[in-house]
Amino acid sequence: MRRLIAILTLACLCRSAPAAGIVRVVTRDPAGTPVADAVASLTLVGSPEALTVPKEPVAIVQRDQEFSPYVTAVVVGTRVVFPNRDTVQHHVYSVSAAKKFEIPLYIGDAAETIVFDRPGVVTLGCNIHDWMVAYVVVLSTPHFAKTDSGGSADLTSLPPGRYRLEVWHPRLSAKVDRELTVAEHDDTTQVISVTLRPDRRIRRAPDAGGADYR
Amino acid sequence: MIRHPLARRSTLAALALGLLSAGASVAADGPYVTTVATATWQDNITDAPSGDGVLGAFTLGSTTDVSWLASLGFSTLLTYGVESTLEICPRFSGLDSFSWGPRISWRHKLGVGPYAPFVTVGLEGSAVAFSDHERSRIEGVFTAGGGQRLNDAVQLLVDARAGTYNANDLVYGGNYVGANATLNWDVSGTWRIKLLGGWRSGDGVSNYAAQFVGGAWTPIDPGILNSPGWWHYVNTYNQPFTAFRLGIRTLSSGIGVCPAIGRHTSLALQFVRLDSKGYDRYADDVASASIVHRF
Repeated sequence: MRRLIAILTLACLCRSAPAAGIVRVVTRDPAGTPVADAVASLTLVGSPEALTVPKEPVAIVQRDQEFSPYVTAVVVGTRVVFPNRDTVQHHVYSVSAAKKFEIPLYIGDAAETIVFDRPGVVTLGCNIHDWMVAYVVVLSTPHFAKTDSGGSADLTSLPPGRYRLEVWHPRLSAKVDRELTVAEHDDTTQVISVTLRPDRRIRRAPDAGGADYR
Repeated sequence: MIRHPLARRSTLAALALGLLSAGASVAADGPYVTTVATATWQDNITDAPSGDGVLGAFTLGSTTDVSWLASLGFSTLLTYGVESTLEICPRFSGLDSFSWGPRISWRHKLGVGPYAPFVTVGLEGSAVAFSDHERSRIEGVFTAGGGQRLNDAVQLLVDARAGTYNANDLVYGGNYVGANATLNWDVSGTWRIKLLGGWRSGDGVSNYAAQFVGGAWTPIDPGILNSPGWWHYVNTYNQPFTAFRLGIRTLSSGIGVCPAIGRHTSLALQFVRLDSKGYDRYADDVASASIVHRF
């Protein structure tokens, strides 16, 4: 009898939680160079999945008059804080449709926590230091990862199903959007070739004219 | 009527102290230190119209700017500090100088983001000591300007200046107004091309080669003596000259290349042509190489 109960329990568990798959996304430019800071996401086609919003806010730090990290990926509803670890004040803002906000000049920990409540890409800036830029990719899927310096991102714990794979990067010249099927125990690698636009950030280096702000 | 230099000096000092006190009363960041080392060639350092009077010379300069920033509310900042400059002219040591002075500027950004235009208003004061003592002066300048980024790579900057300076010798004093425009084009993350244009109108000094006639030094071209203003004999240039303070209008145009060397340092190579019209017309080509470092 005990053996029967054990077998039934195992069968139920297997049925309710099918074996998860893994998709490794590798991004490279046409020359084969790994592309870091790309956000790869998988969205289950046809049936939206529940999102788990982190209890603790995500931090995007300002240090040496730059944002860190350069690209942050979060799920819709995530709270983000912007601690300023510089000795100079910053004025963090976004004018992106997915989230418009401003935190006027401050130093240290800003009183405001920003909730990113709509999916989309949010471009961050500092209204004093025009060269400062960072991106928050707000996603409505729990399956996402950012590529590392080797251009690789692992999306794990994927229930079997059909997914839409999207890859985003600040300098991407063409949208990457494809469908794929994840089966039980899948462990596949998707190599994505991306073409990047030139890195046209606003110049930070000083000028003899003295007109640059500091 | 020109006031005594000491009277002007005390007025400027009081003004600068007042502005600095205002700035210090609010929370400030800093100090921020920027240094610029420059080597400059001028092909007509004498601002002479023609002939024997046109002399070229190198100058070597070093400028240090120490400034603080204070927030005056939303999108408005106050910058204040002091700037000092040492200039050496190996060929004409009388032009060696050291200047020091306070400066303060108010800046407001009309909106949010890198493409929002900004406006500035400022005051600058400086005391300049020359090896040729008669050139030493104090100076006060009112500045107003602004900037607009046209895209990630191109920014237009404009500024207007109105200044007054009072030297130990009347010839080297005067007033002026001017305006400048700069177009910065960042052709890549490293390379910047600058296009420069400017206009200045006011008092200036033009030097005329002199000869000893009738027991006195007089300009070789005696027609200049008909111009209104002050003049006197100078021996700064190792040969006889007469210096004339004249109303002079100058148009300037130039081009520069500024490669960045990391985040905090850049090189600036610049060529500017100054076309001036006083009693006579003359030109001065100025080529410079600078290294700028922001600590």
